[in-house]
Amino acid sequence: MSAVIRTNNLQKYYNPGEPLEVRALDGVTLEIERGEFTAIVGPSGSGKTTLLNIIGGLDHQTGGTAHIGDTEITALNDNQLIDFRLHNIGFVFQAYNLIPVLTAKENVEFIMLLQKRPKAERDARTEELLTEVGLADKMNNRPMEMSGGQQQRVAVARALASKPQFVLADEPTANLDSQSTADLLDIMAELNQKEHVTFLFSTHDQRVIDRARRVVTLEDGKIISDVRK
Amino acid sequence: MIFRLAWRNIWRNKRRTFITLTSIMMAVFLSNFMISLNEGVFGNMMDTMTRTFLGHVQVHQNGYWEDQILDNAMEADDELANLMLSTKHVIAVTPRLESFGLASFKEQTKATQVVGVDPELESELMDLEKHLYEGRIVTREDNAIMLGYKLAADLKAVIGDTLVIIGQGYHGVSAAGKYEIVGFLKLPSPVLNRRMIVMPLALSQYLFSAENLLTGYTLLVDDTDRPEKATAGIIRQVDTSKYEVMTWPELMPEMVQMRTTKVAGSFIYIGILYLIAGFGIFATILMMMAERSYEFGIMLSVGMARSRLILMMVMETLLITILGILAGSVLSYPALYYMKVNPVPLGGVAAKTYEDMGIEPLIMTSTDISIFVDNGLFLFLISCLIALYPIIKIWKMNPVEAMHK
Ligand SMILES: Nc1ncnc2c1ncn2[C@@H]1O[C@H](COP(=O)(O)OP(=O)(O)OP(=O)(O)O)[C@@H](O)[C@H]1O
Ligand SMILES: [Mg+2]
Repeated sequence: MSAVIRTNNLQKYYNPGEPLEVRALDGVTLEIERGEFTAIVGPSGSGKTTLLNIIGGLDHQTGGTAHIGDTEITALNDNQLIDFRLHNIGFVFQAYNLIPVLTAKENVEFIMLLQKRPKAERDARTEELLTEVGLADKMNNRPMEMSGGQQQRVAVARALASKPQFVLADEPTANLDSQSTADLLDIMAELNQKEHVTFLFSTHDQRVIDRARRVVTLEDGKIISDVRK
Repeated sequence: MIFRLAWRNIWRNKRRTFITLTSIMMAVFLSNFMISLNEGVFGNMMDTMTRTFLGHVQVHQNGYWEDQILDNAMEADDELANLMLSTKHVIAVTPRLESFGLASFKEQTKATQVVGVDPELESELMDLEKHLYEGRIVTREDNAIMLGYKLAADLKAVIGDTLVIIGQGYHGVSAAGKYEIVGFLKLPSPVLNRRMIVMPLALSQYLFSAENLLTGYTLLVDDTDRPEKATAGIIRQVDTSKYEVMTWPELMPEMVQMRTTKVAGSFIYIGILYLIAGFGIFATILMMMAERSYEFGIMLSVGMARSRLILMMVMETLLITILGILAGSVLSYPALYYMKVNPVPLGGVAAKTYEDMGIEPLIMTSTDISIFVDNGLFLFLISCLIALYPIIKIWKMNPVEAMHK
């Protein structure tokens, strides 16, 4: 099987059994194949972030399972999860992804330092990635000295630095103007096509949805449609 | 890498770090100052008192120190003196005969302390040569005396004048003599300068009809703070049913008591200083943790182990403290060193109080390295305690929740 991500009847209930019970995820079964470029869409509160967090090993489900490759991620403890994330998952958050006191180069290198990669490899890959996201000239800039769009591109470079199985991005363009959004999507799409990087991202933005090759729609914690283009 | 992060992080909010550093620096500076003054005034005083007159150890006939009268004098014993001198840690042994006498010159009469000494053996202790204020020092065979320079002033006597000493000798025999004044002494003790008459040992034995008698031997050892190192060896060799071997803290327990009281008092003050500095550090760490919650969430999310994140925060806490300690020490050392070299004379009531206690009215400091080390170490320990907060906080941190705040 070439599925990178498999969830089976994934549930996340807040305050179960109480009057204020919230079913953030209510039986989500989903498979993401290697090399897919998938958008999770749906109204606010539909469970997009919850789903990405559980798949990313940042949050715990209350029912069902999630596998990343052969690993049942939903069965790992917190410290195992940290190590699993380091080696298997790339993250791009909505904003302020970067460590403010480190330069663009150091932010990308940071992940590889945590992975204890040799210096030569770190240097080569950092340069390669920053070039790919078009920021070779901003290597030594700190996040404060870059635009929001540039910061998100560094975040994409960082997410790829660890050679992860896939990249998770929760509303990566929510804080960007339309030009930066387009640029970021160009880069993500290119990485996806040329290097077959698997992307799973959530979004509200129709222009982003239009660029996705698969669109999974959530509502009230359930998948209501799953369309491949 | 972790160190680089920690270092840069502490300079993110330069102003806050600066304020925290200043508070640590001030605490270190002030407590160094206070301990240095205590050590300086008391330490120097005890050191000079013991070195120039009292000695570190005294050996008398049993019961002499309790009742300091000539009738409790002991036989001079060269064998005993040599035995003590050859004991480990002992530097000098000198015989003395001390008693009281009334000194008269023209219309003036003063109560004085008459000390018969061996002028040559005293070179390690009272060092007449070094403390000579005017005139010359007495020799072993002299029929002359030396006076504390203030006593001389009180009596309005000058070099070459003749002084009459009247007192009570051994077994109640009356003692009286006329002596030429050949020199004045200035010792670092106001009491001695105002009361002391020094004469050759043989002359004093003659004056007090105390042939071959001593009130005791005065010893100098190699470590002022640990005279018991030497007495241990002495006690093993001398007959303690006959002699009492006393260290300087036993000889002047009031001084030791006074020092303890003074030090205890300043510890309360230092405690408050450290409390303030400690809260300053804690508040800073608290704010840094709160402000950077989102960032910590990101770091944990992308796979930074908790232990490394903890290491980073502990480093930040300790770095700020260490920088503050260094700054405080570097700032206080030259100031204290200057004051040590140039002691400030006290005036007015304070001077009087000090003199009454037998202390020179000088503000002296000590630059003993242990003051800086002890203070620094103490604050470092406080900071280690503070570092528990980020340790616990990060240990329980959940990345999603951290990013929500
Ligand atoms: N800690 C929590 N306690 C209770 N309910 C929660 C908690 N976190 C999330 N929820 C609820 O779970 C549901 C799903 O939230 P989630 O953040 O996954 O939605 P979303 O699709 O990402 O929304 P948005 O588009 O606004 O980001 C929402 O109804 C939310 O109120
Ligand atoms: Mg969301």
